Amino acid sequence: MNMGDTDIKPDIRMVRIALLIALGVSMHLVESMIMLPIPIPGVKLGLANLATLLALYLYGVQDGILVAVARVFLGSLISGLFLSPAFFLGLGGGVFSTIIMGLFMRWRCFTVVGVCIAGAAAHNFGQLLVASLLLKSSAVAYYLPFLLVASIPTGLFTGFAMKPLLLRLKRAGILT
Amino acid sequence: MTRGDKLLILLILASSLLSGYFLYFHNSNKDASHQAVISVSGKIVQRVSLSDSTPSQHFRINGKVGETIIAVAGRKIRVENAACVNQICVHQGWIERAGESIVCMPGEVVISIEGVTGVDAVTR
Repeated sequence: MNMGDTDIKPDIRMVRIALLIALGVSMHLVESMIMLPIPIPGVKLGLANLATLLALYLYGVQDGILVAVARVFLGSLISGLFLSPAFFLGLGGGVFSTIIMGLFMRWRCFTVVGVCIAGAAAHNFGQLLVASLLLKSSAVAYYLPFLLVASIPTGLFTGFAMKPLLLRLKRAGILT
Repeated sequence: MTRGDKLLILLILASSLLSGYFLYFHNSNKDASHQAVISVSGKIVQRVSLSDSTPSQHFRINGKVGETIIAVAGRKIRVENAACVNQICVHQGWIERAGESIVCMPGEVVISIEGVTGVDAVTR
C-alpha cells in the first residue's frame, strides 16, 4: 500500500496544478468580462488570483508562480491579447504578487485575508511598474493612490472567499 | 482578521494618502498655466497649453490600436473617443490639475498635465 502511495502522489500534485491552472484561466476570462464601474485602469476583483492562492497554500511559492504564469499565458492566448500590454501587465502583476503573498504567508501575524490584501496591493503596484516601463512614462504613477485603495476591498473579497476554501481543504485532509 | 491584517490595511491606506498627497496636491497650483503633453509609446506627439484662453479643439492621435480623439476646452482635457475595448480612458472624463494623467493602455497613449512655472529661463 505504501508503494502505491508514493507512486500516485506526484501525479495527484500534477493533476491538481493542472486543475488550478484551468480554473485560473476560466476565472481570468470571466473577470475580463466583468466591468467594475470605476474609471481606474487595472482594477479587478482578483477572482483568478484564487487559483494562484490555492496553489500557494497547497504546494508553495514555486507552484504558485507556475499557476500564475500559465494562467496569464493561456488566458491571453484565448482572449487574443497575447503579447499585448494587458498580457505584460498581467504577467508582471501576477508574478510580483505571488512572490509577495508567499512572503506574507510565512509571517504568522497575518491570516489569509492579510495575505490577499498584500497580494492585491503588490499586483496593482507591479502592474504600474510594468506600465511605466511599457509607456516609458512616469505619468502612470498618478494612479498609484487609487490602485492602492482599491486593493483593500478586492483583497478583502478574495481573502474572505479563501477562508471557507482553506477550511474545507483542511477538513478534507488535503491541506495540513 | 488578526491585528496584523488590520495594521496592513492601515499601512496601505496611509501610503495611498501619502503618495496621493505628493503626486496630486503637492505640485498642483490652480492659477499657474498648465501644459498637456500627449505621448504614444513614450514619444511625445503633441503639446497643448491649457489656459482659460485656450479655444475648444480636438486632436486626432494615432495610438497603437487606432485613432484616439482628444478634446480640449479651456483648462481641461479629456479623451472623447478611443479605439480600445474597455474605454477606461473615455470614462475617466476631464482632467485639469498638474500631475493628473489619462493613460490608455491598449493604445499606449498617455496624456499628462504638467505645470508651467511661468519663467522659461533665468539669466544671471
